[in-house]
Amino acid sequence: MKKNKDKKQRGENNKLANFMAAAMAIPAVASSISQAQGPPEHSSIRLQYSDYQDYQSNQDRISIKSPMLWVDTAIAERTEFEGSIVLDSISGASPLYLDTVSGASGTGIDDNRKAANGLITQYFEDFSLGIGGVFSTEDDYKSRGLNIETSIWTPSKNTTFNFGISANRDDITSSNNAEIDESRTTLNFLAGISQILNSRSLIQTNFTYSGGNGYFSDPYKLNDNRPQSRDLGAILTQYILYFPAEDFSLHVDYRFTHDSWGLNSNMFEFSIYKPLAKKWLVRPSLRYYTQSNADFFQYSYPPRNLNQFYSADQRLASFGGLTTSFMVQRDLSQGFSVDFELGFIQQRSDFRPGGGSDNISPFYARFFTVGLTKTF
Amino acid sequence: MHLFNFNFKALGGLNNLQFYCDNSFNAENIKTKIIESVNEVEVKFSRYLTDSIVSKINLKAGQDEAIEVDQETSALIDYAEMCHEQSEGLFDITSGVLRKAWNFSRPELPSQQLIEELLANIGWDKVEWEKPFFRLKQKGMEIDFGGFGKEYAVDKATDLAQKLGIKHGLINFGGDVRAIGSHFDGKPWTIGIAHPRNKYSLATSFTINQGAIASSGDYERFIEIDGKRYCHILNPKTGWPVQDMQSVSVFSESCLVAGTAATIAMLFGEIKGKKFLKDLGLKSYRINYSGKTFRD
Repeated sequence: MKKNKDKKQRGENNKLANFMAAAMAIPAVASSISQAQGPPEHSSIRLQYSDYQDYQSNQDRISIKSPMLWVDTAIAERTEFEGSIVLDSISGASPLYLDTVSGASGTGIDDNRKAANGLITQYFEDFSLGIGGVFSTEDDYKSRGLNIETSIWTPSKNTTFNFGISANRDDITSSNNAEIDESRTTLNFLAGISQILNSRSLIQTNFTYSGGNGYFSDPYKLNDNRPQSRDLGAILTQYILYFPAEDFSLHVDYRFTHDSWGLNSNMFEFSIYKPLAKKWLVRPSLRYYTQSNADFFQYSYPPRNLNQFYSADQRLASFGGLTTSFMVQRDLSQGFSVDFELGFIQQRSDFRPGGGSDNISPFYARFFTVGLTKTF
Repeated sequence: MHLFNFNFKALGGLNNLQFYCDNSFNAENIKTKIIESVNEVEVKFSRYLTDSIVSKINLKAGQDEAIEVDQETSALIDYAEMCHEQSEGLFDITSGVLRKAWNFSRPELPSQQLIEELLANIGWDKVEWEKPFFRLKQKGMEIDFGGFGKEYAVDKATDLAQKLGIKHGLINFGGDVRAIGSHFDGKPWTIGIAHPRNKYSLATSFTINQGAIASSGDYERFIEIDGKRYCHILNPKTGWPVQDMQSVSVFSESCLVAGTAATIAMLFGEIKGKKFLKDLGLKSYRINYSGKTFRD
C-alpha cells in the first residue's frame, strides 16, 4: 500500500515538474520569474562634447575641450560592460596665485590627455561583482588604476550595500624640468548604503577613504613642496524627494571631506529634475562649496621656510564657491535623446563664512556640455 | 514614486498597466516600450495577420513543406504540447477551426454535420512537430495561439517591465493579471474576480504581492438557447462547449501557467478540474454550474 502511495505521489510531483519545466523553457517566462537584478535590457551609447574655460583677473587661463564616448551594454545574460573614452585638449596657464609677482605664474600648458575606463559587472541572485580599470595619459602625467566593487541588496531591493576598493598609480614628469620623474600610489575604499525610504524618497550615503603615498607637488609651481602622503576621508549623502502633484524631483547632496593636509571642505548641491510636455526634461542646479586651506598653503612668495611644506596653489586655499548650471534634455524618436548643459563657477574668498585666504583673486569658469545618447 | 496608470487597446481587448515610477518622463518611456512588446507578440502570433508565424504555418496545412520556427515559438509549441498531454487531449491548439461552427453572434446551434467536418481537421495527432520544424498534415487544419497568447504577453511584459527597473506594478491584459512586487508602501494589490453572471459586480477579491491570477469562464462569449448556455470553451473531441463550471481563477507565478491551468480546469469540469489543479499544487477559486464557490 505504502509503495503505491509513494509511486502516486511521485507521479503527481512529476506533473507539476513537467508543467513548470515546459513553462520555464520559454525564455521570457523564466526570466520574468527569476526577478533578479541584471545588466541593462537596452544598450546605450553616448557621444558628448564638454567645453570648460576658466579665467582670473580678465585673463584667459585654462581651457579644456573634451569629446567623450560612453557605452553601457549587456555582453552576456547576466554580465554588463560599461566604458568610456575621453580625449581632452588642455591649453592655457594654471590659475594665478599672486597679483604681485609677474613671470612666476608658470609656463603655459598645452596638452592632450587621453583617458579610458571600463567596468565589467557580473550579476548574481543577491549581489553583483564588478572589476574595472582606468588609465589616462598626457605629456607629463600617466595614471593607471584597478578597481573591484560589489553591491549587495536585500530581497525587497529597497536596501543596497555598496563596497569598493581600488588602487591607482600615477607617474609624474614635467615638460619644464627633465629631472622630475616621480610617482605616487593611492589606495581607495568605499562603503555605502542606498535606501528607499518611502513611496517618494530615497537616500544614499557613501563613506570613502583614500590613502596616498608619493609625489603630490605641482612641478610647474615654483618651490611647490607638498607632503609625501595624503590621506583623505569623505562622506557624501544624497537625498531624492519626489513631488507627485507637481511632477518634479528634488535632489539634495551634501559632501564633507577632511584630509591629512588640514584641508576640510563642505559641499551642498540642490537640483530639480522637471519633466515638461512628455519629451523634455529640465534640470536647474545650484552648488555651494567651501574649503579651508591646507596647513602649508601660503599665498605669498617666497616660502617662509624652504625646509617646510609649501604651496601657493590657489586650489589649496580657503575660499567659497558657487556653481549654477542648467541642463535641458529632449527625447527624440528611434531611441535618441539630446541634451545640453550650461554652467558658471565663481570662487571667492568672501564666499566663505568667516572669510577665506587673503589676496587670492576671484576665480571664474564657465562650462557647457552637449550630448547625444542612443538607446538600442 | 508616483503610481502611473495607463490603459491601451491590444490583443483584442482592453489592457491596463500600472507601475510606480519616479517621473512622468521615464513612465512614458516605459509604457511605450511595454506596448511595443505587446504589439510584437500580437504581430508574431496572431491568426489574423498574414505575416505571423501562425499564419505561415496555417497557409501550408496539408502540404509537404514544414515551417521552421524560432526558439520562442518552439518553446511555446512545446508548452502547448505538454498542456495537451496533461489535459488528456482537451487542450488542443488545433481546435481553433471550431469557430466556424460557433461564432456566438447568433443564438443558433450549429449543425452536427458541420461539427463532424471540422472535428476531422482537429487533433494533435495530425500535427508533425520535429523541433524546429512544424507541419499541419491535413488541408483545412489550423493552429491558434489565442488560448494562451494573452497570458504569455503578460509574462513577457512583466519581464520587460522588471528589466526596465519597475519593482512595483500591476499588469492586466484583458483580465489576465500579474503583479510585480506590492504597492510601493508594501501593501498588496487587490484583484477583483469578475462575477460570472452579473457583469456589474464581483464574485470575490484577492490580494497578491507577486505572481499571476488568470481566469477562464463561460461568460466571456456565449449564446443562450432555451435557458441553456453554450460558451466559447469547446471540447476538441466533441466539438461542443463545456457546461460544468461557470468560472475558474488560478494563481501561479507565471500568467501563462495560471491561464492555461484555468482553461484546462474548465475543460475537465468540476471533479476532474479540482483534482487537476490539486495535483499541480496550484491555488484556485472555482464557481461551478450552480454558482457554488470553492477556494483552495
